[in-house]
Amino acid sequence: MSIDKSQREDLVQLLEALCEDRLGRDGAARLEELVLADAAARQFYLDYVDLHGTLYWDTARGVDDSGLIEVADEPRVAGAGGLSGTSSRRWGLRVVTLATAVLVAVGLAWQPWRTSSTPGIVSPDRPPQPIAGTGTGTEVVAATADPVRSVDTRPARIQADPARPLANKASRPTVAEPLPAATIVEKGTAGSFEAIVGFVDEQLAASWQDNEITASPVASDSEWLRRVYLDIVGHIPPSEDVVAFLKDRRPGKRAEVIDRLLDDPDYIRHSTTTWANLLVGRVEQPGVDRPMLEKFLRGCFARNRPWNQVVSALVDAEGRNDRDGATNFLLAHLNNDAAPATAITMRLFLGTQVQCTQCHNHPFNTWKQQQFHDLNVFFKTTRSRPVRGSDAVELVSVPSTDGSYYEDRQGILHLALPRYRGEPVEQSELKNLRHELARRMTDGRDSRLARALINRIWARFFGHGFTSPVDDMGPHNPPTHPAVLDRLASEFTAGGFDLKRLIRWVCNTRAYGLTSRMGETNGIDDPSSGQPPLFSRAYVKPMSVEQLYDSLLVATQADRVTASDWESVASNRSRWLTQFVHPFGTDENDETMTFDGSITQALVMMNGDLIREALQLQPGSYLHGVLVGSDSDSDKVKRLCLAALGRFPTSLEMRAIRGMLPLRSPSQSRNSPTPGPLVEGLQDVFWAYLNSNEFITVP
Amino acid sequence: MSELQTTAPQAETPREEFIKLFTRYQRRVFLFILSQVPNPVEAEEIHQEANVVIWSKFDRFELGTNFFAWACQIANYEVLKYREKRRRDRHLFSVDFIRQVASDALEQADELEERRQFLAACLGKLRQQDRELIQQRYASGESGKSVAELLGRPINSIYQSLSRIRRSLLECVNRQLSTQGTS
Repeated sequence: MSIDKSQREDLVQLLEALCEDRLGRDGAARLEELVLADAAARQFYLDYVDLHGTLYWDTARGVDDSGLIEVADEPRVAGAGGLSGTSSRRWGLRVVTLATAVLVAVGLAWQPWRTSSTPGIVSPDRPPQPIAGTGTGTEVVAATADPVRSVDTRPARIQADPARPLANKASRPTVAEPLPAATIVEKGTAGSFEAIVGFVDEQLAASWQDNEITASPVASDSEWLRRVYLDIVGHIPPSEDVVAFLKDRRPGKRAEVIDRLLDDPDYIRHSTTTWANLLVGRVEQPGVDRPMLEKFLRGCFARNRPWNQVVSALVDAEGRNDRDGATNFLLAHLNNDAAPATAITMRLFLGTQVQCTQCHNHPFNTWKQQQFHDLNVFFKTTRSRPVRGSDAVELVSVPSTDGSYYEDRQGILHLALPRYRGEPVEQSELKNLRHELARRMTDGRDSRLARALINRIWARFFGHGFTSPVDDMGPHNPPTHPAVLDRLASEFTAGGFDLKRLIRWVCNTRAYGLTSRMGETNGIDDPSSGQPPLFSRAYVKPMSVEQLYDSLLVATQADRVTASDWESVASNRSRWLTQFVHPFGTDENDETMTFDGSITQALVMMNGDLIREALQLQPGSYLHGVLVGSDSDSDKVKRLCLAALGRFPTSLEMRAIRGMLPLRSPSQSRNSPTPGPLVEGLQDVFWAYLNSNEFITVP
Repeated sequence: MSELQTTAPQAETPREEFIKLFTRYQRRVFLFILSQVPNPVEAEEIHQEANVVIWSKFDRFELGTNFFAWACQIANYEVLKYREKRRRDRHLFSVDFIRQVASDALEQADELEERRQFLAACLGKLRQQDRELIQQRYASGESGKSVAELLGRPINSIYQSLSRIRRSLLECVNRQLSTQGTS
């Protein structure tokens, strides 16, 4: 899209003369000729004259009336009016290279040669860097819809516009004002929403102060909306939701979205997927009926069943796996003397890692080999039994002997007895050991149940928990914000293990509403480099494979083209997901994902069927809808960006696109069919947006 | 204050809303005109005319629609009218040119506005003497020529300095945009 050097030099000479009012007739004619002949030259002309004019306007009118202004709640000029552009110049078509150019502008998804500074490849164990600018960077929407930022960057004319201060306040996330410590309700009682959120805000703010950092600014509406959608309902917001949200000027709109999303059926679906993956993994296993487990979980999340009851149902399940879905959790882990069942139950629900104490005392904490085997006894009487005449499996408890033996590293045999936190089980309780275990885990006396879940939820929304890893808690691994964790745990327990309430607290904290970009002083808040998280900004998270798939469908509406009924939608989805998952076959039933930023992912994204179908021009797809619409060409580009990234294109992207595509002026393009080369070009633009880094991360 | 409006005290009357829009878009409309008439003094003249028309058509504007696009339509018309009125003067640019540039400028209004926001930062990065020269040049009623006289410097050296500074500002804005976009 650039003009060559000598042409540029000519233009500068002519434009300089123009600025100083010494451009004669010949000069004017020459300038006109150059500018009309070439879109890039026209761009250069506009940039130059605009610079000249801005200097004039801002300087001639004095600094305080600087017109360095506004934008606070200014709507974007999406339509760009109905001027009669008359020139019908032919633009050179260089569609082929377009996709590359746009990719460079938005940041390439697969950049193995540039992993150091950009989140090119997101390796699973190294969370991506904040998107320093792949898109959220020059986000235009941020400037237009985020008064806080625009006030930061320039002197606002507050006196001149009495509405401005109000507008500022209005766009703040609706976090409750922090309350002074004295008014906080006592620990352990069910406090009010404001008190709890206020306490968390206060604690985090104090930790920022202690570390001498300032938190990042509030996230722009489009960044925040994309984050909260992906976190709560597991997919990006549809473009019409983005537009409605950006237009909404009411102060409480963020809190409202949180409430609405928690009532959305996709919250149930996303929570179900997340927990089913944690409980039994993504790989299909014989004797594990994952659809039934999902059905059980759906029921729990739909009714917002108290968390302790959910855990209890899973640990205490009995019966056929095609009738009671909860049985499938333990059925997946009964191999190897139920050691995996013991380990995963402790790890998932109590945040306690015991697996290595199967063979030796824990090197870093107080866990002893004895304790593992005492716990293991609770599961050792559990068996999986095929049901005659059916494919189903039954989870049963066989009568217990009152203990079992294990061998320590010296080869000495020890007796293991069912004991939970040192407390033995009564003789009368031996009949159903898992029932006793479930009761002890979930009756509210073991605070680990609440703490483990809170840590996990916090990590799901913030990208990092209070401990790392998130499921290894204990005195050997102290949390970063113990007071926050304690308070949330006691409130969560006292309030009846209400999951939605917990999520509402987390999402309404000030920290959750911040941008993921680092501010000037909080560069040390970078957990991906091993620093403890301070939550002075949101951290960018890689999308899960399910989030990516579902987001692709939201953006492209590909499912409306390829599948006619829900069944095939579901089977398409699982077929697509399985290509990334490989079982590891370890003692802990681990599996590996070749998804998070790997080459497999990049190739499937770039060349896979799903994307190809999504970009086909069949009626029903989003792209088709945009192309046959009556918008101007540049509005079409804007709609594609909005659908993929939940924001408007940055000017850098618009320029890259304009330099490659024969975008017609609004009057030419409105209501007339899109010509062939442009169709291909817009397809490429959409492809590039969907393959950008920004698309595959949660901001 | 209009007496017609007796609704809730905080609700804005259409008139207030219009005033807000009008004020907010002053600079953008001016710069839109300047893209077609690059002489700031003439552009200001046209801007004044356009403002009068915009005001007179207050009741024809539908709140909620795109004020800027609407105002630009009026402004573009005023540019062409001004050109017509000054028929005997030399015209720098053809009507075709003006139409094309106006269409482009409106189309790219948001991108141009984004660039303007970076300009303030870039001005801050100039050397002290360069910044002062720009301020003197663009102070009300000045031109390169008058600054040269004021400073007692040869006119060509002033033109060269201004050219160098404007180019570096343009580069700086481009750089800011691209680091925001890809770093």
